[in-house]
Amino acid sequence: MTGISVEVIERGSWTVLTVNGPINSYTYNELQEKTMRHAGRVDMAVDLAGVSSMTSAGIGVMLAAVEDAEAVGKRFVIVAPSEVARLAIESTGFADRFPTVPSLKDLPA
Amino acid sequence: MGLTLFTYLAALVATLAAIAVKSRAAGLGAFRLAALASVAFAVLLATGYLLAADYRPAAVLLLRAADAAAIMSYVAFMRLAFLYPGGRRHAVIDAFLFVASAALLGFMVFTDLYVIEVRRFGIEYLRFEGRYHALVTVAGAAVGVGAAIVFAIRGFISRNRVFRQHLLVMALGVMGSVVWGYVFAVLGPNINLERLFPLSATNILPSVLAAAYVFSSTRVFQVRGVARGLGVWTVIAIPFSAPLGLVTGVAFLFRVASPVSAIAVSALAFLAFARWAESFARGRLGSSRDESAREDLESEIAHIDLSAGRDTVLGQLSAIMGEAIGCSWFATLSEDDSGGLRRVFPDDDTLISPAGSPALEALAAVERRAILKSDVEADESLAEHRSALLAFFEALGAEAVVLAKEGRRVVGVFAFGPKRSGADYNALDYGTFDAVHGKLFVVAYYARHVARESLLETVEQEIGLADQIVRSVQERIDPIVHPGVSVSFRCEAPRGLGGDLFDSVRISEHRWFFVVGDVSGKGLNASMSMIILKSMIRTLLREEKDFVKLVARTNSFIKERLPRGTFFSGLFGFLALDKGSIYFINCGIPAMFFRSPGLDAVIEAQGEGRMLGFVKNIEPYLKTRKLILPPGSRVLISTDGIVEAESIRGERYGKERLVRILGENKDRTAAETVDAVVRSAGAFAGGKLDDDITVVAIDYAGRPSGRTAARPAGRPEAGPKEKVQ
Repeated sequence: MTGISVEVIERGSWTVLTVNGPINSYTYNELQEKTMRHAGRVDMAVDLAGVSSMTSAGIGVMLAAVEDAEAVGKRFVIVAPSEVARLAIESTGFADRFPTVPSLKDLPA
Repeated sequence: MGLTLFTYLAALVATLAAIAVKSRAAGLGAFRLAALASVAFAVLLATGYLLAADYRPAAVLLLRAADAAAIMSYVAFMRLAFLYPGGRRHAVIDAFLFVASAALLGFMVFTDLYVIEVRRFGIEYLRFEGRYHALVTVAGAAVGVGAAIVFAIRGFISRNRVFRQHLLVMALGVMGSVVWGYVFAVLGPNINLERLFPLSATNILPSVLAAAYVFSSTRVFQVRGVARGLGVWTVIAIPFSAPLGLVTGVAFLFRVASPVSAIAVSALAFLAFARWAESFARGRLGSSRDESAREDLESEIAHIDLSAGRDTVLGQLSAIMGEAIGCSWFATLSEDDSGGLRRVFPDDDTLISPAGSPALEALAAVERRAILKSDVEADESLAEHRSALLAFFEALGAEAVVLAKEGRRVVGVFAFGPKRSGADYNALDYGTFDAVHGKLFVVAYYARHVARESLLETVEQEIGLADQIVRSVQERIDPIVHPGVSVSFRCEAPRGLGGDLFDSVRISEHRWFFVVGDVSGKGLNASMSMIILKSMIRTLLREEKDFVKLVARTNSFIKERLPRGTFFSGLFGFLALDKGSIYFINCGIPAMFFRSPGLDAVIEAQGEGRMLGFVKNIEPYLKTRKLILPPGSRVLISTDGIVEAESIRGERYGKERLVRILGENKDRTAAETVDAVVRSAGAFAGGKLDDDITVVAIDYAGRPSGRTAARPAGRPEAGPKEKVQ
């Protein structure tokens, strides 16, 4: 089973989590742990360009992060989702709940 | 004159308060009469005062009628003092009071014996009193004082603490009205404060609001709660009333504004200040603190280690609730195999309520999550079950209970003893019970389905325990057994614990409600959310007859009650075998395939869907669809665990393979087809599926009567707003 990697970097006022690999029930724990560590505390961006597959486990992590951020007025965006990640997000019927930017350069100041 | 504005406002407030009362308590009619007479008093007095400058004949009639209305309101309060909470009406007394009131009205309004004339010059108000003015005034006040005394005496001798408090509140309210009226109407003019006379009719507020509170409340209040309420009121009132009074007073002082513009300015001032004051008060005076405490309590319950064994789990819960609520003891009752309620913590295994007992029937019938003993004593909506519920409370010695119910089945009860402080349970406690109900529900299920600790030694820890709960819950469905249909399903989780769900509930002989889907998250958390959701859907199904609203309320429950980030992707269906149709709402189910024997083709039927748990109000997004089933047709529904299954090369199983399996198994049974799908996906994934899976197959044979469907079918269409029943 292929694992995922989640790298955390600071970029201006944003904390960026870069995810590579599949997000499923076996792999989402690391993403969840790192997301929960930052969500609602800082402005957070999650780069999903390198995501090879994404199940409901990944959507749940993203939704929790969005709601954590909203609860305290912090910002949360998804960056450059891969095709499979985009489709997974759109399958919810509420893609507009996940603010998205095409690249890290497009992160708001 | 500006002060009359406050009298009209008082009349408006009293009217709204009286209208808002929804009660079946004894004396409600007397209260409404008292409120009506009080409001009439305020309106007549304010209007008469305004007319007294230029229209004296009309003014004197109105002011005489106003005072008659005031006395009648005290008479009605006196009647209420004898009727509330459990007095009986006597037609003779009512008839006598009606005749006496009519005579009083005629005497005061149409003779000069009470008031001869009134005049007003600016703010100077003159009243020429008749021969019996003092006598009537004193007699009227005496009736009011008498009502207050009767309320007080009955309050002090009442054994019921709720009614005691209610009666004393009304005693204070009526007495407050009498004193207030005396100060502004009698004392004020005698000490050169006649300009305050228009405020005399605002005295209706204490009595009407006190009675409105009594008829709207079934719980005692605590001094702390009252102090907090007064604090909030003060914070709102000071910044609001200061500019309001200033603007109104200045406007009238310089006569630059009409009453209408003064009211408009006042309203704007209210809107501007009230919003700010509310948020200010919420942040500093407690309500947000209460919410935070409730969230902490929820979190504590959620973090109880369910693998520790039942006695330990319930012991931990007892300690948490004892600390949070301040109860002297805590007990857990659980449904036993016979359907009765047994005490499982402390574990004396006492049978508290046998199956079918009045108490158990009452608990099942009451549509509440928590019940305070004071509710049972004072709330007329519980009158039907009062004796059974009180017997239940007495048997336990409890002051409050929280119920875990699945539909009408009582799975468990959490009982709370008297508070260590001696205080009564109040609305704040009720709010806490309501807030943590979802978490307590999980523990109730745990207590119901996990055997005693001593019997668990052979069971593996966490997975085994939780799996035991999950399986028992998943297996509890109303099987769809009907000559016109064959239904088969498989619900599996790769780790033994999962959030996938299939449930069916029989609605009538030919109709079933069903739900299939996936609660997000994995393992124990997802399982617990699934258990709660399944139970909640069954409960909502009993309450809500509108299909769309049922789904919308389920969405609200997920959004508000389940852990952050939880969502549900699935499908809610309503199988109408007598109509040969399925009505469904797609909430993000990825695959629903329909195979018609006539077309010999497979059609993807689910259409667009919105998952639950993403937005607060999902109703605008929901669409009921209808799928007409010809005899011999098959519907296959699958959660994303199948469609998203990955091979070792990273390929998706996809819908195409599902369609192929459906075609290859067209001559096999529903159960064989479901097995084939699960086998195929498992083999594709190298024998190890990553995600929970649920597959449901529905084979429709035809209507019960043997007639075939009237319309050729297959393609789903947007359906009307369907009722569940």
